[in-house]
Amino acid sequence: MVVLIGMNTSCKDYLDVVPDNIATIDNAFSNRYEARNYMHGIYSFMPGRSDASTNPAFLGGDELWIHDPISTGFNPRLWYLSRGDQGTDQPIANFWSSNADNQWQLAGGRPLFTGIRDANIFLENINKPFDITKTERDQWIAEVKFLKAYYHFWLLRMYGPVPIIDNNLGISATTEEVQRFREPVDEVVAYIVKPLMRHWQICRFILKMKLLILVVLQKLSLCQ
Amino acid sequence: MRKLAPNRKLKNPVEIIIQGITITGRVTAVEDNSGLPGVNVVVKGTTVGTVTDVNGNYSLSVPSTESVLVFSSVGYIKEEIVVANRSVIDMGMVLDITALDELVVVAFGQQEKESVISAIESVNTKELRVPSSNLTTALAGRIAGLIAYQTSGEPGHDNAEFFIRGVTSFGTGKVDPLILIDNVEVTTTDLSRMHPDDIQSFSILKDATATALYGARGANGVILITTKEGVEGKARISFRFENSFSTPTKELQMADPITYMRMANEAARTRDPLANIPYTNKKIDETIAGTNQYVYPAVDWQEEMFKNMAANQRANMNISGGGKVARYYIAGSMSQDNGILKVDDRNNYNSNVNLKRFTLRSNININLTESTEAIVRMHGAFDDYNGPIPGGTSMYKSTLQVSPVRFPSVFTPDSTYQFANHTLFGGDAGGNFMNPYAEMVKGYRQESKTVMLSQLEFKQDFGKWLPGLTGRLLGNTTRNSSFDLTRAYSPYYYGVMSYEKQSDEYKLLQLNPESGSEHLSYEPGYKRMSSSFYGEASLAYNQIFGVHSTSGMLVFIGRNRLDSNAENLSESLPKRNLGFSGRVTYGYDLRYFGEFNFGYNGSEKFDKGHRWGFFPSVGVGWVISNEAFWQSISQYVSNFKIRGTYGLVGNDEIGDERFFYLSRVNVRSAGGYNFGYNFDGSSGRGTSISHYANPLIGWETAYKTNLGVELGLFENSVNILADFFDETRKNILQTRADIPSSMGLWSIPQANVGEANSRGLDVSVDYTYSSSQGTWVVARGNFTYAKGVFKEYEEPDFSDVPWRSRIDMPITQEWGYVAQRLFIDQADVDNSPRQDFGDYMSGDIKYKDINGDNIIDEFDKVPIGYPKVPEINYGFGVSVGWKNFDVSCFFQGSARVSFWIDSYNMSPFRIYKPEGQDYVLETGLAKFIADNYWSEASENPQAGWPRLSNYAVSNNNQKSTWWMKNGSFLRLKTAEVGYALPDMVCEKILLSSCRIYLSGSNLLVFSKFHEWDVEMGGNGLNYPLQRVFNLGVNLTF
Repeated sequence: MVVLIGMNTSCKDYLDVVPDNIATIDNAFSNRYEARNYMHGIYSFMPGRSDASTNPAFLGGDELWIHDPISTGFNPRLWYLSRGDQGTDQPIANFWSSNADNQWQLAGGRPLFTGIRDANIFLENINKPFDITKTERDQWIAEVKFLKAYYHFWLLRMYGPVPIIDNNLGISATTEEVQRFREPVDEVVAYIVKPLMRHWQICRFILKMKLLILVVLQKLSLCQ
Repeated sequence: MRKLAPNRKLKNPVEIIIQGITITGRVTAVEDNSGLPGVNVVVKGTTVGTVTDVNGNYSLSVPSTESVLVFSSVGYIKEEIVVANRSVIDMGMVLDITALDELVVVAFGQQEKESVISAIESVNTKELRVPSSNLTTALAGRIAGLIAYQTSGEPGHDNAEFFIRGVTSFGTGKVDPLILIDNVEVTTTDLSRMHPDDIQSFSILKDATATALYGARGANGVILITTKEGVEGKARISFRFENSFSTPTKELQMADPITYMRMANEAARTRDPLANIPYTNKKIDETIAGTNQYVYPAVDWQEEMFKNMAANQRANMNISGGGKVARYYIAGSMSQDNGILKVDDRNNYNSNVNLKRFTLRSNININLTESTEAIVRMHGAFDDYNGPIPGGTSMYKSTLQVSPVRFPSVFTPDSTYQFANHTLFGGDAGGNFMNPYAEMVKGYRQESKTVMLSQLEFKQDFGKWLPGLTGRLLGNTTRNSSFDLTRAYSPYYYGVMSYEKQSDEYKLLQLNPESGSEHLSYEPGYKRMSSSFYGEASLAYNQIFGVHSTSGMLVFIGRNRLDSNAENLSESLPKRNLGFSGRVTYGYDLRYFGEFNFGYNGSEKFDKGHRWGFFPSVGVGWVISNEAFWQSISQYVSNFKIRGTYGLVGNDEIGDERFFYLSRVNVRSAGGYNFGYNFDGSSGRGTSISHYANPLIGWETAYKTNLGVELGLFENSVNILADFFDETRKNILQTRADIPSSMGLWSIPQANVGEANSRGLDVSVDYTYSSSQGTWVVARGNFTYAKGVFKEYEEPDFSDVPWRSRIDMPITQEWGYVAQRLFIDQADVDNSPRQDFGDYMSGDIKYKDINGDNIIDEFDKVPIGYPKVPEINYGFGVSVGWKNFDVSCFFQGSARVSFWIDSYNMSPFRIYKPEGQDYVLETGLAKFIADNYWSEASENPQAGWPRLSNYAVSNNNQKSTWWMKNGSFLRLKTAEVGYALPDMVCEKILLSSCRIYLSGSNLLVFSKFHEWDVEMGGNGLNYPLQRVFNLGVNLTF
């Protein structure tokens, strides 16, 4: 009996097979190089504004018609909107999505909510890399805050009132917690404009960002 | 003794000294006429008796001609016979299949049959003998509680699927039972290689008390097999040889080529009246006339590629014997199975399927001291496979993936190519069409698999210190390794360039001069190895104190497994289990029994907080027939026992992920972005998370209840065993379904939230009869019904479409559309709800709008048909013997199962390029489609196949009741006729016994579905199941 108990305690480690340095999310912020890559990843969720297969403005407006069967060079899935194929089961141009919804089912949309979540993770962890200078860190924070605001803007433009994802919810959140409310349009607009104004000083040096911010502000002032 | 002479006055009338009559004889087992040693031959009512020797011979003095001799032996039915005027009395003993296991093999030990209160079914290994090299094909219908079916007949890939008490979990991990051979966990393939002659006992453990000791993976039931050990005595050699011929039970019929062409033309025009027809009248006429089989081919691909019959051989030999110090059991077996593929004469290699299997087993028991025993078990199994590169099943599928009229399989050379040194395979200049004959003979694949098992066990009897205490220590290591390779040449394809009808000469065009080759190239294949170690230490105590019998046992196990070829770091880590189990039993006066088991197991898969699981179980039993008040009717009902158990069992093989409590993060591997003037500035890629950490994931637990009744009637000649079971499986791992997109997760997490419930019944009945003249009859039947349903399942809120909810529906249930009929005409199409699957017209399938929203879409999917795994399995069989002959047959059936025809892959005339291949396929025409299809001429809304097309019409290929078929069947599974040579003949040729037999398997099938063997279900194009005719001989020396 004693032998068995003795074997048991030493054997508790027998079942501990996992070595200690398996990749976790902290690895993505271990140094400047990894953090910069992570930031590039957040950029990748930017919807393609000049791509006919992801921007519904080109083909979804009944201004263009394509002869069936289709043999063009780009994916004409957004044209199916004009054919009346929009539905609730697998929406076309589905931007209200996360990466967990299969990419091919998005039919031209982008998983913007994953982009927003990744932006939040970046903002929570950007103090971890040890070799970033202060100015660089401030610039990156400004860029990511812009992206977070821009993704909210895109959602607002497509869907009207949307939930404001200011902070991420943990994996173990309850069913009630994860069902966020859609906030009124006024609040969403205020939420978008605030970081744009605050970080304008930094963002205006990035040409594309400057243009986008101006576009966003112009559109919002139009619809206010 | 002096014989009493008649008319002689007795000296002392009280003392009558009777001269004994010497009776001699031989006692044999009726099945194979082998001598039975150790049989008690006793004069009834006296203590006069003897025991048969190693050959079954005995010699006994009996008092008078009225004496009754009683022959008895453990495991055989007692026989009585009056001496009468004979001096030689031979006796054939019949196996008592109920008493065969007076000791039943249970988890980690053995128990007296009477005291067993768990649901354990022991199978007589003779029942498992079928003329096949795969033991799993013998399981269906023979064991109450086992649901089994076989979907392919290809040698090496013909393992049956089997489940104990049905499927009770919908997790993605292990749902089939745990298989243990000599206490070591093995795979289904290892089970398939076992030869019934080597099996000492075969039990299936079904309920909680039986399996709780195997906590880690016992939740789906356990199959427990022990191999034979040596028996003291002179070496007994037994040899069995079988030769069989196998043919497919049923093959899919193809339509003839002329019909193919006519229907292809119709298919092109019927959807688009302006389309080009693929086959001109000239081609059709010339093909009918048979002008030239190479220029106007009409190929029966099945005839070109497959033979009708294959020959298989099996041989098995075992030697057992021993003395006081050591006993041995050595067995070797060899089998060769051939496939039914044809071989090209020009090749000097064989690309037909050929599987050779060798196994060698050696079990040696050594008595080190009076109380210590050491057992060494070594086992090796070696498979050598040779076959076509795509595999036998692919070859069958490919006969439906080529046109019968586009090109012949092989050309006879024309004048230009008559000196070519290679086979001229047919092809088409218009595209790289696949030629299945070329794929079959262009090369061969060799595969080699090895399993080596070595085991050392020590048994110690501590009786000197504490009577009834024994201990056991076991260590086992198993190594598996396998690899394959292919050698092939690249075929040269030819097409017809020109044809002179006058001279009947054609000129060939070489289609791929740059990619063909005449020499073999070599491609290495996979290489896989795994090693595992298993150790076990146990202590057991068995003692009887008057009317109380108690026993206790503690077992400690550890297991470690390592696989090569891991794809990532997590997979490469070893898999480990530790467990600590025990059992306590108590019996009072052989009437009341109680039992308590527990298992405490740990697995490396789970987080520290959830690593260990405790699985207890209890059971009680009452043997009513041993009660005093029962004795009056005990001659009618000789055994009546009721028992009940309840307990928990765990399962740690719950999914494909190894470590749920760790996240799997892939840095720099998600989408990226480029900056810069031409996007050539800074670039980088983001991080994706394939798996979120969830430390709460733990054991899947089964709560099992079992109620059983055992009835023995008429002195155990009729036995009925019935078990009713109910199982709830909790904490089933499931992907969460209520995570909204606004969470923005990279992948959907899993959690133990699923729950399923299964309940059912298994019954087995058997009847034995034997007469002293040597006639015997054994009949048995069994029935299993198991229904498993979802109880809790994460799914969206289906309250407005309640038919989509999985709750309370069977686990393998399919959902689909209800098909009403084919559309009659365009007006019918216009007036029906819109069907959202693409274009459709009259002659296509019309579905029912369940929710009345005038659109046929996801919300109209309802549960259709029976589940895919049968809910009922039954079997019954009879064996009869008289004198030296015996005849037996066995029927097996399945019910409450549905399958679906794969209409997408059977849709004829489609030309398409499959993913990952560079050749083009063209679907052929199956006869059942040609016989019954919707055409513009007939416009039959109930025709079997909808309007033809030469592309896949997605409207018709949805899962619906149109393609649903009933998969129930009744099959004559085996039949056997045998003859055992009489003793005198045997002795002359120095044999102890000899039996010759003729047997067959899968002889007849009764079902509603006739296109292919219904047991294959929706996989109609798999390698067909085989009907086998077998001739065998069994010799013992």
